[in-house]
Parts: sequence; structure tokens; C-alpha cells
Amino acid sequence: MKRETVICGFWLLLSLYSSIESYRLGLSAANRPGPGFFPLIAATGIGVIAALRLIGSVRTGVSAKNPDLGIAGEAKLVLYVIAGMTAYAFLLEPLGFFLCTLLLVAFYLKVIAGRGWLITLIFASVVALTSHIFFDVLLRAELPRGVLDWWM
Amino acid sequence: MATLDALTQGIFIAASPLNLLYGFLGVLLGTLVGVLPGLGPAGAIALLLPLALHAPPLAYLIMLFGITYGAQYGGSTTSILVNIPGEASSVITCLDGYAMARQGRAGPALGIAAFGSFIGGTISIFGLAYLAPALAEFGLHFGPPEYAALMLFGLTALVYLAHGAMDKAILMALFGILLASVGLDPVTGQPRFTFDILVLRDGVGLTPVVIGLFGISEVLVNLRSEAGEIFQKKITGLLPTSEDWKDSAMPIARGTILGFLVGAIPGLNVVIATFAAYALEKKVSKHPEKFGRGAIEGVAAPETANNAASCSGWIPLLSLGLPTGSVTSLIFGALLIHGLAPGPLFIKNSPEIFWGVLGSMVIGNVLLLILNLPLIGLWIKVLQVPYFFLFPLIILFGIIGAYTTSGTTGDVVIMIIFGVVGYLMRKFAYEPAPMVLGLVIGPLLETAIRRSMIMSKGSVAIFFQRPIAAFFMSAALLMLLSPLLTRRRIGHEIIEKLEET
Amino acid sequence: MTDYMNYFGGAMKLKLIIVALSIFAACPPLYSQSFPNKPIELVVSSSPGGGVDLIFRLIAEELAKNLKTQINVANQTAGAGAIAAEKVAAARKDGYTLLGTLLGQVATMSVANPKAPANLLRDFQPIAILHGYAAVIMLGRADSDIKTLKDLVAQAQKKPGDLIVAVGPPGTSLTLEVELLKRAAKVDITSLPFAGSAQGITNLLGGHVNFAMASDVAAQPHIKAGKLVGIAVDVESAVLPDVPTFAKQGYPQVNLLASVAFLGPKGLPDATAKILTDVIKKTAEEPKLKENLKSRGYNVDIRTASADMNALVKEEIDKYSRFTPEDLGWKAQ
Repeated sequence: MKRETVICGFWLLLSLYSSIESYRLGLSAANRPGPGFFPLIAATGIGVIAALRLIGSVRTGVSAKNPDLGIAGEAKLVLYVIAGMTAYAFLLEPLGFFLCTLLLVAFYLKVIAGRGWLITLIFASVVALTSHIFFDVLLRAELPRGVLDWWM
Repeated sequence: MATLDALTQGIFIAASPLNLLYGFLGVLLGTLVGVLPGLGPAGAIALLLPLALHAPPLAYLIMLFGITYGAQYGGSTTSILVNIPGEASSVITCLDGYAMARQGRAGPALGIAAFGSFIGGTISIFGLAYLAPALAEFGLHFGPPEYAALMLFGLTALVYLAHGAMDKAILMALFGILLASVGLDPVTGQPRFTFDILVLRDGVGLTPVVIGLFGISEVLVNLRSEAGEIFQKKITGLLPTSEDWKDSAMPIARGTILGFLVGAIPGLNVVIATFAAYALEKKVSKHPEKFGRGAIEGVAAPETANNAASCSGWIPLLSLGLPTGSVTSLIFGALLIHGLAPGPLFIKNSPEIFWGVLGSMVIGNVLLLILNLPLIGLWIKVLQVPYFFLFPLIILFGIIGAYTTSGTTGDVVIMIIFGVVGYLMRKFAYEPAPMVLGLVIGPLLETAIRRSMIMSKGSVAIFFQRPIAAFFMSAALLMLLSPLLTRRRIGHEIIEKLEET
Repeated sequence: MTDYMNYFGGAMKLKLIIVALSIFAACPPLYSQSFPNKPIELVVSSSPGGGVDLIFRLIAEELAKNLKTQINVANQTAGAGAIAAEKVAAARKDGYTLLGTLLGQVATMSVANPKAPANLLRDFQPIAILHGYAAVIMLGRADSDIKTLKDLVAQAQKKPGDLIVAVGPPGTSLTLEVELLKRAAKVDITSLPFAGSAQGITNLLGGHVNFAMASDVAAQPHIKAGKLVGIAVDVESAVLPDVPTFAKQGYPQVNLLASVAFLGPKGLPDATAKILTDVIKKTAEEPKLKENLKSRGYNVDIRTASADMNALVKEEIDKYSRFTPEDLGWKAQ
């Protein structure tokens, strides 16, 4: 299936869902626009544009080939980075800033950049320590302490 | 003449050793805070609140003000270097600034940003000194209908922000508006699109979205490349060339005026000034297609505008005692702590404070220029670090920035989501700038229109009966119709459509 | 592996034991010293520098001296105060994590959504309450004919819906008090929501609305400058003592007077709670601090008697129970 068709399909679905939800929120109340009024306009606009693009893409024929975007090659790397960030986000409060930073940087350097163990550990420790000093001690930025709370 | 005397007096007061010290600390801290995404001047000022009870009033205020405009200097640094806006007002700088960095021209970009900020900030101070009371009075005339018309006019600036397909840009703007309605409805308090998730009740914050959309997506896109491919090894000079100066002169001038005016209207975000300045430059430029690909005007104008706007943004507070945002509210609180009631009589009753602060701003801008220029060399070195060391730092930077916005994991998750969204958008050729515009202007437009409707009991005529509102409505309509009227633009669009299919 | 075992024989074992004991000894939390022996975290559910945040910071400054420990004020405004409330409700019941909040904010949440993780009655115990800490004032323009509440009601009866009042965000006392007035006086006034006092005053000065609800501190400079007049306050104002209250003008129902409170998670050890309560009371009544607070426009009416506080909490819940969840801004999706 043509990529453009899929993308437009996504927009149309979003538009449909948002429109229904906006309608549910209430369009008007005593002469004044309700909470759903604006989202509905935005959602409808998205739907109209998506529909127009869809029609346009269908009309240019099935023969057009999807240009290669290079996603396949880097998908693994991208997913690893995202996984790292997501893990960090959810482990931040239980494990604390220092540990998470250490683990994240080590993970990225080892798994994604493929560097050796020694340099990974050194770099990760330096980064974790420096950012701890910078953000926690100097700036008092209220970053979570996690399990190391008693030590810090 | 009295104004100039007073200002000179103020400069002398601000140049006393104690005030100078506090001022320097303020701009230093401000620059730092500006460079770090997520930690804004509001956060830094809040951290310093306990100090308020011990420090002498004028020195303390000088420091606080220093933080606010210092942040406008620092914000552009990370925008240019790694495509992560340090402040929301630096989003637009990412577009051309980062492109310049990739072309090995990070130095000139940073340099023009610094000089533009200096010029915009300094001239704005004089504008404030002479025009503050008059502008404040004028600002009061802006009620909900005027804002609605103004925002509508602002949205039409969208027309000039996109350099790709127009329909995709409009779609992105609408998406931004839709996204902005997540959270509590400001008029009725009803939750919209929150799915019972507590953190969504505050809405999708601008900062995490922008960090993800610009910064994280940039990293994702570059993962496969080696460092050399991303930032050109050959650095062509650390400072702007004379041609850069020639190109930037008018953008800086226009940016100052536009920024000053936009900032003077109470309640308008500095971000809007940057979007407006960028759009204006693109419209009057003889080569608009260069924007987004490293046009120095695209850095000069917004950076000048944001400093000018941040300075004129003080007008409602200093002239009328009306805080218009989180930072102004904090300064309002700081003034209260010292028993200085900001209000219409503030300038009359506490001239030494008012002029002392203004004087400190003049000095502060000079300090910031001196501070930022030598740092350019340092920043360039940062770019030469191998990418496999750099990208974990960028990601960490982004995460910390997102987390410190509100202290909840939710914002980090939003950043990640929009990192992915940004990545997909780049692959499928959708632009982020219109979406940010929609995200910023959408809620302002909506609340303005709904309040106007409440005021007029449902009649749309209110937008055309009031002079200022009518003016901006006409301007908006003109903007909307003008591209249709310009042959050149139509030709442009048709050619693009043909090229696409 | 066996090499290791040999290595750990003899003198090494003794040294290890000594090292372990020293580490043990160096960890403060393992001691049981008297409260407080480490920094206290005060989570304030209001934005930094605002009226609520400021009073907590001012008190915390002196409180830290009296308690001989650091007090870290952390602002957490996410989720309209719900995140801060949940954090403290779930915190360890040792007195080192406290909530500094507008009592009405937690009351609103609990009334609108009693099953939420942070319920005022079920999950918190009050440590100290500052009753009626600041006044909300209804403002009018100095150049209009309407100078008293009586005039306002009369005009509203003549032209229902015609008068426009700038109120605050849905669910705040700035908005709800107008609702109470409308109900009590049986008139129709149009409420126009804004983000806060400052916007309301701006629009009033600009003539876009007829009246505005605002904090007394924000209003004072404008009244002094002669541009605006105070029509009524909900509780006697420290900075504007001449403005009569709603009650005095015949509408005692308009009484959402705001209190701020130090709250702890329910189930604190009695000794700890007593220390906190007593020291906070002592601190708030120090003449210098009291004078400082009053000059900033705060009323210092501190309540710490257990029965008194519980009654106040219940009263707060009752006051907000007069509204539907929609009014309070917590309608379930």
C-alpha cells in the first residue's frame, strides 16, 4: 500500500476520534462555544486536509513506488535509544538520578555505539558524577534520589 | 531629556560594586538557565526566593532581572548547537541556527545571536524608558476581542513559516491546536482528552514537546551517521563575516521593533515575537527558499526579537503593577517581599528602584555580550566531540530538561513520544514549526474567542465593532488572501505540487 | 574462589568487622535521634512566588531556625495540586514530608472525587492552619456609579446578565464566591473566567468588564491610585481594612475564605505531630514574623488546637460540598 495512503489514513482516524470526542464534550452552551467547539474545528480541518491528500495520492496511481526512507536500516538503533529513554523515565523515581544516568550512558555507549567496557564505564561514571554535582548540588534541581537516598 | 538623565543616573546606581556583583551573578545564572532546557528563569528565581529576605532590595532585583534577559541570551546556544531549544523562545532559532551549525557556521550563528540579542535588548530598554507609561495605557485597551483578532492575525503568519507543502503545514498547525486542547478547559474547567491521567490535566507542556520534537528526533535521525557527517569538520571562522553583518542589519532592526511592540502587549509570550520576526523576514526576503537551510536572517531576527520582547514585557508590571506571566509574577512577588508595591504609582514612588533596574539592564546587556562571545570558541569545541560521546549527553540533557519542567515522569514520557513523532515527521516530510505555532497560539486564540463570546452574549459582531479588534481582523483577512493574489506564490505552489507527484 | 577464602582469614576478618562497624556508625538514619534530625521537605502545591507559596517560604525560613533543621521548600503544581497531595499522602509517616497548601484546594479535590488517592479527611492530618490568610476582594471601577454591593445587586436585578465580573479559573474561590453571591441575592451576573487576579484587574482597568474578583494585595495599589474601588471582601483584609465584608453587607453565604494549612500524612506519631504543631505556632506568633506577614497583606490567625483544626477541615469540606463537581472543575470524563 502506498505510504501516503497509510499516513492519510492515520490522520483521518485521528480526526474522526477527536471529532467524536469533541462532540461529546459539548459544542455550545447558552450562546457561548463549549469545550468541544475548537477541538472539533481543528479535528475537522485535519480530516478535510487528510481526505484531500488521500484522494490526490490515490489518483496518482498505484505504480508510484514508495521512496526509500532508510528507516529499516536504523530501526534497531532508534528502538534501542527509545527503550533506553523509556526505561530511564520509569526508573528515575525508584532508582534515582545518579544510578539511572550511569546506566543510561553506559547502555548507550556500549550497546549503540559499541565501545569497549572500560571506556564505557569511565565515561558513564564521569557523566553521572558531573551531572550529579551540577544539577543536584549546584542547582538544587530536585532530581529524584531513589534508592540511594540515604547515601546522598 | 529628563528621561535620559534619569536613565544615566540609574546606570550610575547600577554600577555600584554591590549592584554590579549581583547583576553579574544574575546574568551568569540567567545564561546558564537559558542554556539548560526545562529549567527556565522562573525556576531559577524561585530557587533564589529565600535570598530575598536577606539581600538589599535593589541588588536583589537587579539580579532577578539579570536572570530573565540573560536566559534569552543563553537559550539560543543549545538551539544552534544541538537543535534543542533552551527556552521556548529559542525554538525558531533551531530552524536556521542548527542548519548553520551543520554547515560549519556555528560560530557566526552564535555571534549574530549574541549581537542581535545585545542590540535588541539595549534599544528596547530605551524604548521602555521613554514609552512605558504610554504603552502600558495602550496595552489596557486589549481585551478578549482584541486578543482574538491579534491571534488570528498571528496564525496567518503561518503562511510564511512553511517552506514545504502548504496543506501539510496547515495540518500541522491544526494538530498543534488540537494537542493544545488536552487538559482542563480554561473556561469551564472540564477535562478534555485527559483519559483520567492526572498529569494530562495540566495539558501537554510546550517544553517537553519541543525538546522531543526538535532535539530528540534530531538524535534519532543521526544515529547511523558518523560525527563528521553531521557537523562539517571545516569550521569557517568563529565570528560573523562582513557579509553576515550586511545581511543581518535589517533583520536586527526589524526584529527589535517588532519584538518590542509584541512584548509590550500584556500577556503575549516572547515565543510569539520570535515567530512573528521570522515570518516577517521570510516575507520581505529576496530569497525566502533559503530560510530553514541556514539563512542568517533566520537567526538574527528571532534572537533580536526575543530580547526586545523580554524587555518590553516588563512594561505592564513596571508601569501598572500587573504581572502577565510566571516570570513577571515572580518579580511581582519579589517586589512585594521588599514592601515595594508595584502599581501605577510605582515609577513615581520608587524612582531609584525603577531607574536603577533599567540602568542595570543596560549594564547587564553589555556584560552578557562580553560573557557570551568568548564562549563561542568553547562551544565550537563541544561540537567536535565524537558523536557517540555526544548523543548520550544530548539525550540526558533532554531528559533532565523535560523532567525539571514539572518534576513528574509524565513530562519525560511526553518528550519521548514527541521524539518519536518528530522522527516520523522528518521521514515523512512534515514540518514541526507550524505545529509549535498552533500549540502556542491555539489556546490563546480559543480562550480569547470564547471570552469574547461570553462578553457579547453570542454575537460575532463584537470583533468588528471595536476599533483595535477590527483592525487586526482586517489585517488577518488581508494576510490570508494576499498569497492567493500574488501570482508568484501561486506559481510556486503549483510547481511544488507538480514536483511532489 | 578458595584463594579468596584464605585471604579473608585472620587479621583481615577483624579489619573487615571494624570497617563494617564504622560504616554502620557513620550512617545517621540508623540512629534514632529525636525529631527532627534531618531536613524536612515542605511540598507546596502552588507556584513559586505566589501568595500561597510566599507565606510558606516566609514561615519556613523562621521555622527552620526554631526546629534547628533545614526545611526544603519544593513547589509541585502539577495536576492542580493533586500530585503534591498524593505524594505527601503516600509519604513515610515520620514527619519529614509535609504538604503546604491552600486548604480549599485539597477540599475541592476530595469533594469532587472522594475516591481519589489523596482525600483530605481520610489521608491527611492537619498540623497547623492559618485561617483566612488572605482576602478576596470584589473590585469596581472608580468612575462607575456602582460603589456598594447594594448598588450592584440593584443594577443586576434591573438588567439580568448585563453586568460582567472577571473571575478566576473554574473551581477557585475567585470564581465560586460570585456563584454564591448570585445564589444568595438571586441575581444573574455574567462570570467571565480569567487565569487569575492580575488578568481580572487588567481587564477591569481597560473597561472590558464591570467588576473583578482579585486578591487584596494585588488590588491595593490600584485602589490607592484611585482607579478602582473595593466593593466587598470575603474576610477582613489586612491591607484594605475599610472595605466591608460580604457578611456585613447582608450576604454571609459568600464565605469561601481561604485558609492555608500545613498537612501531614495521616497517622503521624503523636510526639512528632506535637513538636511540629507547637513550633509552627510559636514561629507564626513571633512578633517580627507576624509584623512581616501582616505588612505583606496576610492575616495571621493560626489555629493549632486539634479539635479546632478538625472542625475547620470539616467546615471547608462542607463549604465546597455546596457545589457540583462541574463547578469545582473536576468533572469526570
